[in-house]
Amino acid sequence: MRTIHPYYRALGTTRVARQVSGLHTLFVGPAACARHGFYANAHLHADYISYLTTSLLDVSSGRLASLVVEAAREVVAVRSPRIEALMLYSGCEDELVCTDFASIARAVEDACGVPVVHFGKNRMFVEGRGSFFPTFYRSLFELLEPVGAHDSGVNLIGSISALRPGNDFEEVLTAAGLGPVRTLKTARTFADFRAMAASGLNVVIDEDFREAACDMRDRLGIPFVYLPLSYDPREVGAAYDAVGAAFCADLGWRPRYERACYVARAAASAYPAPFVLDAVGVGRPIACVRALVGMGFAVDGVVTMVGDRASEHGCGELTEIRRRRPGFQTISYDYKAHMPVVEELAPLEAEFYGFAALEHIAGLVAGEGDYT
Amino acid sequence: MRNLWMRLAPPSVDVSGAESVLFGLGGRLLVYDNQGCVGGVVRVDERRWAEAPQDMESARLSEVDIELGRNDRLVEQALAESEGSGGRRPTFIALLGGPVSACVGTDLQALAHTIGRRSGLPALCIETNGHDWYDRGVSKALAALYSQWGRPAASRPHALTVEGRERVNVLGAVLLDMERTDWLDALERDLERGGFELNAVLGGMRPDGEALARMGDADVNLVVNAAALALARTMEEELGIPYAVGLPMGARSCERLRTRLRSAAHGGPGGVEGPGAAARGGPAVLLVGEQVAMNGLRELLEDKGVAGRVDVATFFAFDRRIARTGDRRLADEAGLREVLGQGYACAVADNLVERVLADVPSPHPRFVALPHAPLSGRRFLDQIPALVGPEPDSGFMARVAAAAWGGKR
Repeated sequence: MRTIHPYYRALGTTRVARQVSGLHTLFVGPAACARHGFYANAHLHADYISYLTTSLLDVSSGRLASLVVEAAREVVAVRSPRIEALMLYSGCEDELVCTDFASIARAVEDACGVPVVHFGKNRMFVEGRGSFFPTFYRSLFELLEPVGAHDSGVNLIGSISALRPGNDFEEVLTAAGLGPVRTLKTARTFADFRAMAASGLNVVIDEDFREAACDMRDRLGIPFVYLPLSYDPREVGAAYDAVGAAFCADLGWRPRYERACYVARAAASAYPAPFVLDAVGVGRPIACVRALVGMGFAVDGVVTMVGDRASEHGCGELTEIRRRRPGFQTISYDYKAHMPVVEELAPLEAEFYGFAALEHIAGLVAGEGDYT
Repeated sequence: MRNLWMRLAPPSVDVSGAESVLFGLGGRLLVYDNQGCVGGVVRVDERRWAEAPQDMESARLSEVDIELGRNDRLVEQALAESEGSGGRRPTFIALLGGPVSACVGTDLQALAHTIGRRSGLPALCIETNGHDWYDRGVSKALAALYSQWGRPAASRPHALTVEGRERVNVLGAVLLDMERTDWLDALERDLERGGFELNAVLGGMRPDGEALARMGDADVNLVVNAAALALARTMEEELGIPYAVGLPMGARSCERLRTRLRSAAHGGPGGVEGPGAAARGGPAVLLVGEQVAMNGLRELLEDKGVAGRVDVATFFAFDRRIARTGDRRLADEAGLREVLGQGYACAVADNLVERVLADVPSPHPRFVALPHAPLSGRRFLDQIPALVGPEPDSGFMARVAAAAWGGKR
């Protein structure tokens, strides 16, 4: 039996921050927390992150602010590529003692002359507190500043990938006179990133980015629609309708719908053998399986990750598909180590946003992709 | 600027060092942190975890529990697990600290005492804080093990030497420093060839709960890591067990160490003095890494005539008594930059240190990589050369020689 691994989300904070050209992260906190950079593969982004390790005395003596300012000055002066914005990144200890990073960020901004945002990663458990990712993404997009007028551009928020050339989402929008589609990945410069503030609509494809989208709506006046990636062509059509409605435009997506259905059904016929879908990290794994089954694929099982909020969603209704649980609670370093193509896999899902997602996974099952 | 790391990530911290020492002893490790420290150990520093996950977890305390000092919940957590819910009762419980407990000043000693009293299990308190480097955790964990099991009971007779062979404890065999495990194998073989009997290996590389109880039976301690020096001194002071320091690299070094060990075991001068050869003419070489290991490499370079002056620098445990003039402890990356800019012909250091050379004014020392897990984690472990024992990696030596002499030799 074959295992199909379509995608690996793995949106670590370091990796996402790295997508903003010119942004440098200055971690401030205990060495134990800074050390985590390693398992986030931060060494791949070493030019874009620095660490100021603090002592208990630094935190308790009130000299932290001046230390951070001094460190930021040195980092901005010394490091290359040229730093156009800074993110101060702190950990539990500072959250515990309520260090005033808002003030520190302002002081750093004054001292260094670049925009500065702060993200405090608080891993301490509090009943009802969710993932820290939404807060991180909000902090990241706080680097955007209000613009005078919005254009017909669309921000695709929630991935670190660019759409593949020929992707129907871009084509359908362009055909309707809308666009460009702006993503973190396609912003080549910090100015390009800041141009996202001019877009007329945010399309949020990952729930963790909703908080950022809400903030951008309130602060920058950009409305948003939440349209998670879907492998179900009917859902994709509905998503297009929602985007069109935001611009009062008809997006004419029907021909692409027909094509995607044809491609998927043909692939299902060509590959009738049962297979297991390894959906660890897939945004909506069960929805993905449902769509595949709906297209005639013989999905025999699905691997999801224990504790993955997205993976849990909808499992209760799943009766026709056997569900397998791997024996780990988080994605371990070793799990990554056994996936040498993880970097390539990571952005796949969002690269095929629209009907292309179904066509892509159909191609994988039929053995046409390199990612099995 | 102090404590600013721009090219390197900060090294492994004390929690990882302590865990490495306690690995495989059957204990239950409870870390007063919020997932972070355990995550660092599991995902970065402890490569054995994938094959042998340890009984180690973070305190299940909420932010409010921490702020209000509801540490009774931590005690309950420790007791619940000590009942053997996982199917196996631990041999001890170790309570480790993290940045949060250090910040709020949690009385870990009192908590460990309570846990020990209520569980009936030995409870170790290892006051790590997530700020210190791994060597401090190694020292603290070794001290805790000794304190619990190392002092022989008054009634226990001192075991007799078998066939006149001196019994040796190897102190400080820590995987983070000896990721190439055949370093320890080679050391053991050499000791046995030299007529010594291996009594116990402390440091986590040969996990053996029974060895803890006999550590006090040794005739001599061999310290292979500067982080274990404190324990060796304590054992000398309290049990009268002398010690020698060294990690032998090369046949002559092995011979010298055996002589020093034997001398120490029989009441002669031990190995407390630093490696003593005077500087000779030739290129200056800088070695960056764990102090005892780098001292061993220095001896090897000198024995082979590869270098003239050889200095050792380390971010970690540094003891003046086994250092030479010119050796130093590095506080941070700025300190490393400074020392790299002092005109050495060659620098031997962890692979990631090469990045720091970009910030050092020319002329840079030529660079030879010697992976050290506390700096680069598991990334380059397969590149660690065989250095310990009578036959060190000649390819590595050739690289160092070529770098030191710049092809002029």
